[in-house]
Amino acid sequence: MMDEEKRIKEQDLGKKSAYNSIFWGLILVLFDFRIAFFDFLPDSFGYILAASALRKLAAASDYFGKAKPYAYFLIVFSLTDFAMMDRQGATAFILSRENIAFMLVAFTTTILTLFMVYYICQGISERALKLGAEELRHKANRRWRLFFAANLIILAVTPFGLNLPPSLIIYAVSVSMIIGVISYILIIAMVSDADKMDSSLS
Amino acid sequence: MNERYSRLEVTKGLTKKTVLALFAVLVLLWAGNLIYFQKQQLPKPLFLKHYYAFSVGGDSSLEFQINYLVNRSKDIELVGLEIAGKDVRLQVRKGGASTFTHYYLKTDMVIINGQELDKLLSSEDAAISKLEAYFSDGSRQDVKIGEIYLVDERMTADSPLQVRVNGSSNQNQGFTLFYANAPLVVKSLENHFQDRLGASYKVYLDRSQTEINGPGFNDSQTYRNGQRFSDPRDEHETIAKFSTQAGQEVTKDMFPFTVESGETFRLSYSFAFDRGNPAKAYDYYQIEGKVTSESNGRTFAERYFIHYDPHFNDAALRAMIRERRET
Repeated sequence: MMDEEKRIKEQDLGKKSAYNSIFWGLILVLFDFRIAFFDFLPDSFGYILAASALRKLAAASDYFGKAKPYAYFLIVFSLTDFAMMDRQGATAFILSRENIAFMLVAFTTTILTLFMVYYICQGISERALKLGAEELRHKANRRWRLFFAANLIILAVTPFGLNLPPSLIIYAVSVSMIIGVISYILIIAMVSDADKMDSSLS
Repeated sequence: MNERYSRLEVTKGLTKKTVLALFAVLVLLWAGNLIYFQKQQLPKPLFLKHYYAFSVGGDSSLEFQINYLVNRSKDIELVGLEIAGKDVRLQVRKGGASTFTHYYLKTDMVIINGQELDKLLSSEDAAISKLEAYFSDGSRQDVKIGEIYLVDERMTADSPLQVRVNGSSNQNQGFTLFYANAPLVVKSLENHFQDRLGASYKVYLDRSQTEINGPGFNDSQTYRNGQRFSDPRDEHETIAKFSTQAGQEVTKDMFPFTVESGETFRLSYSFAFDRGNPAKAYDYYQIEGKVTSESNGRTFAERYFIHYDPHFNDAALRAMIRERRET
């Protein structure tokens, strides 16, 4: 009996640190810290943290397990950051106009991120349902839909950056990027809420 | 049951078909834009056409601008030029670039130093039309740049007909103001590209004793050709004033005409290219025309200046590239 309690406690502690790792992993992906064009916080570090956390959480929900391969793919794709280091310190959008390969990598990265975030939201929603955390379950649903819509808009607007004058496209791209970042931050905040939920209810 | 409920909530309103349809639209948007982008790409840098005529006698070197287009997706620089078959090397000084949706329009300065200029002038044909261009990515390309004529002709130093000032505006207009310090007869006006320009170019003669004044322009010391105004706003205003078309359109039967000592006259020009055939509007013109005059039985030559830079936007660039591809 004592052993079973200890195992459950350890599992809960593992989940707690796993949510925490996803939280920090996603934050690392969000921020760039560049000195002389070199990114000291490459996205791949963030995805490695998220992937290892998803491996731990797979026991709590199959959805976390399903998110894992996408995190692995993202580790590989984010390595292209090093190959396509922005020499002029321009934004990703400006760079993407100059380099089709970069755009295709960005497109694939966004699709993979959508899948990964979808399964994370599903996992959190399922876990919230199991623990009776209705508010968190609804939050997971709402935030996934916002994230999905924002990324669809980004994906729809970005290719026009290739062929429309910057003056026409820059506002559409900027607004969609801002909505995208906000929806991403809300996902990160939701992961933090899931961490708190697991700590208080399990 | 719970698991199914959870999944349905997250994907509420998003059936598999809807998601697939959305992704299909995205793929079409991306593919369409990429295909169009690819179609706009230049296989190699494209040099614009330059129609220049310079009198180079007595000058130690010559500088002129050269314009070319490169893809924004592969930004390369012109690093050197050589006149094919003449072993004449030209220096390139990097200039500015205008950014368009798919291209950079680069404007560099080409410098022919004295030694190379002598070599060129001593050759049979001192015209430049084909060049070997060397780029920063190590590539080399034979390019046609239009026609640049170098006339080894020293303008008469003691000519009684003197250029007081000249200028050109970005409205494709310009002027040269002359002053006669002795009685003379103006015999002719020559422009190397008159036939090419045809009716697109008009020159007017204003003999209404133009007063030489304008903002920043009252001191006779500032009249000298080539001297900059101290304030660019003054320069702009004065050039606009003197570029205004006035007087009679120049025709052959106007010559010869007499100019009294102390008299001034102004030659002003304007470009207006036919909208139906805009190809020539995409070319650059920098022409030193020649005014021949006679005084006391001696013949003199003086320059007048014509300058035209095309104005490009995305649509004009596409039209120019299409026209070049067709020819």
